[in-house]
Amino acid sequence: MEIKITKKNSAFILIQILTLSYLTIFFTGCMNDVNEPQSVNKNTVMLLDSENKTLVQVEYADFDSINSKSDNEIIRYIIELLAKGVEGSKYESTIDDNIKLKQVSVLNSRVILDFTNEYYNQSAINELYMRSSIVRSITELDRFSSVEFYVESNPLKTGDSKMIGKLRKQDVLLTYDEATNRNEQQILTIYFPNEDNLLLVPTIVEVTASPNRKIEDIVIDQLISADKKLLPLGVELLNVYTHEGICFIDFSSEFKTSPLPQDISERIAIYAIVNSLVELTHISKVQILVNGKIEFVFQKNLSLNRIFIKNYSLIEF
Amino acid sequence: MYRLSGVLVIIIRNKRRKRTAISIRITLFFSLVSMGLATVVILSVIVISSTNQSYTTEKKKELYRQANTIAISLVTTGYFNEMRDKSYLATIQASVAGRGLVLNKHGIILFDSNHLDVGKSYATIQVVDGLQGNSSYYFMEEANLAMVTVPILDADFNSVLGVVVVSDSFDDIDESISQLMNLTLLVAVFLIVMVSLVSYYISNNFNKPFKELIEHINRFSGGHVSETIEVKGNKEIEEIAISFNDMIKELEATESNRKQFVANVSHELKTPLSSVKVLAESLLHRPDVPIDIYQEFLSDINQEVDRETKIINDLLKLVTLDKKENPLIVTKVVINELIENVMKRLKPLADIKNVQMYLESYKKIIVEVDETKIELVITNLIENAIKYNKFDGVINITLDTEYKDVVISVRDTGDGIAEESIELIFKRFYRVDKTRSRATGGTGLGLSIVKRSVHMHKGTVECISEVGEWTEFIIKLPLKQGKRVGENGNKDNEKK
Repeated sequence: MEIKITKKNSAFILIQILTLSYLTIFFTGCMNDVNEPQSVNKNTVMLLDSENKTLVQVEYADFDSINSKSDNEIIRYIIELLAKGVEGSKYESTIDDNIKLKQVSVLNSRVILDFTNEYYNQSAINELYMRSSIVRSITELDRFSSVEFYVESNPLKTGDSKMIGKLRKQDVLLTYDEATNRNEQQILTIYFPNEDNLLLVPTIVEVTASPNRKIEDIVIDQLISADKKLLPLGVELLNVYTHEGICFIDFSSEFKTSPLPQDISERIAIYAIVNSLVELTHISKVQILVNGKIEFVFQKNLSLNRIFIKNYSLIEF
Repeated sequence: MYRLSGVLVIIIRNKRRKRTAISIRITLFFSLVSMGLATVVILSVIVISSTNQSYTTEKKKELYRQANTIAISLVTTGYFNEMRDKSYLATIQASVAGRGLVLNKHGIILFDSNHLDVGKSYATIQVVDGLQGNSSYYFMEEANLAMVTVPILDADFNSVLGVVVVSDSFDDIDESISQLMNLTLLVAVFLIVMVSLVSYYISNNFNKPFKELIEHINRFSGGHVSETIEVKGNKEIEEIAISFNDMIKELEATESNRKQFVANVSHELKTPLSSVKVLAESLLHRPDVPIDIYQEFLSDINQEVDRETKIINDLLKLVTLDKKENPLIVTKVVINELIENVMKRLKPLADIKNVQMYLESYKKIIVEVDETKIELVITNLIENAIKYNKFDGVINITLDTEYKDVVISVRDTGDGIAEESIELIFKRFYRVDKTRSRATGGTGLGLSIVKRSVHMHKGTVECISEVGEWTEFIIKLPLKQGKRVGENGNKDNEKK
């Protein structure tokens, strides 16, 4: 007697390994035609790419001849290139035919251009293209640091009758990437405690920071990360913004719970913050929040339930 | 030889099992775990990506809202009037999460919430686009920063006064997402551990009854035939165990039937031979046996040989009926005539006991049957009715139709059969009263042949009896044997 068992070979089940993948966030693209300026003294001018409506670097042929020419000749040559464009290509001129360059003068490295009155007849966008392409094309050469615009011997004014003044290379930005991925040097006045921690000493600090960082943020960061600690340890800045002259600083809860460094009084800590911030022209008063809330007591005695103004009595001169 | 090959077969099967077949437990475990894993991973990916998506979309909308609020508020508060009301500028920083810029129509920055870029010019494609009245969204992957540019339209929506640029970092979203991912990972690890444990438990429990079953079957194969299986598990497993037990019972019954049958056959075949032997020996051992004694003894021997022949013939008939390939040769038969012929043939036998036979039929019935087999059935039944009848008895044969069947009943006026014996009379060599039936010269196979033949026709046979009064056999046969019926008949064959 035999019982036959027919075995069906069971199918192997493959364990599917699914990789976690981030969703790539949106791209808008199309900003790549502009070559980042790689080195100084490049023989390029900024012309308008008619397809992408952006200013792009276009090489021009006779670089060698540039060195032998005078500053005036070089500038006139560049302006001529900008007015002409590259025929038969997508690179268009940025200067209207009607606008004539009356005079060019170079003072040290400052370039002063005087245009005919037709400058004001062009559209605002064309004006933006023209001005930007001139500034970037000229300052692309190392020997020129800035460009000033004049129309019929008067300084150029934009529609809201504001003077433009001299424009350096960094004053004209052609892409958002260029505008974002740069560091700007800033000069701040920060109040640090003196040796015996009784008074505050105004100290000039030079900071290079991204233009996307709020200046208030940079100021607070200087105080939090100072070598000589003066704020409660471990405190973090949650948010900072200024509304109608009042700067609102939102600290993490450590501001209240974590102890102050030795010998630093509550007043010194608070007014180091307040005085440093009020140095900024757009700030006159300071409100301190902890986790977004108004606290009645800072650490022991000092009330945070008020708007602080600059304290002159604590400043050491 | 057979045993040897059996061993060989088992070895081969064992080897093969080890090489290719995977335990149901492992299969189940990995199925459950991979299912759990896939669910967790898919769910995590969906949750995280959709959260990221919604954060991103929300951020984008928020940036547009902020930018347009600033653009419209600047116009309505009179910033672009001749009065140059700058009061609104002081509120911009508080109303944007990141940075807010106001540019005039020449692309020059008039206001920067970070106070850095005032006086600079943005000649970007988005600003130019904005100055032409279009809004745009731009994301910088490297800086992880989104920028929205919207035009500032004057009160009549006729001309563009400038653009508002609002930017915000995606760092907060990334942080939320990474927190979510950590949490998801934690939950996923926990879930996978849980799923693994539960899967392990389930697959182990699932496997256990199978293992028990296999063990029992192996023991059964090893010769522990009388053992019954008690396996507790799911419904299906229990059903397998029950079926297996039923199968064993059936096998046992078959086996004991076979033994009984062999014993009966031996006995039945031996009895006439013993008689012959005794008769022959008594002649041989006695000298001077008168001739009439010889004649008497030889005639007895002749009778015994006839009996032996009859038994063997019946056995052969039965064996033929048992054969699977034995088909029904169906023809249209007038059953009335068939029965009358049988009655005519058996009249001399009935006359010996002075038994009266009556056929009661109201119409001519044509049935599709295998004529020889049915004739045998009728013969056997009537012969039995004569043999087991009392002297001067009566046999009533009735013939009728009922729905799609023909009903033949044979009723005698014999001693009847006790209720407990009725079930057994169709078994081979069964006799209600052995001594008596031997005297009647039966082989004990007649009713077996009847039952077999009737079943082959997809009919039924039934026996009812009143002890000391009468016995009645009722046969029902389908009037028509369709193709299907023939097949069924064969199946029936196999079953019995």
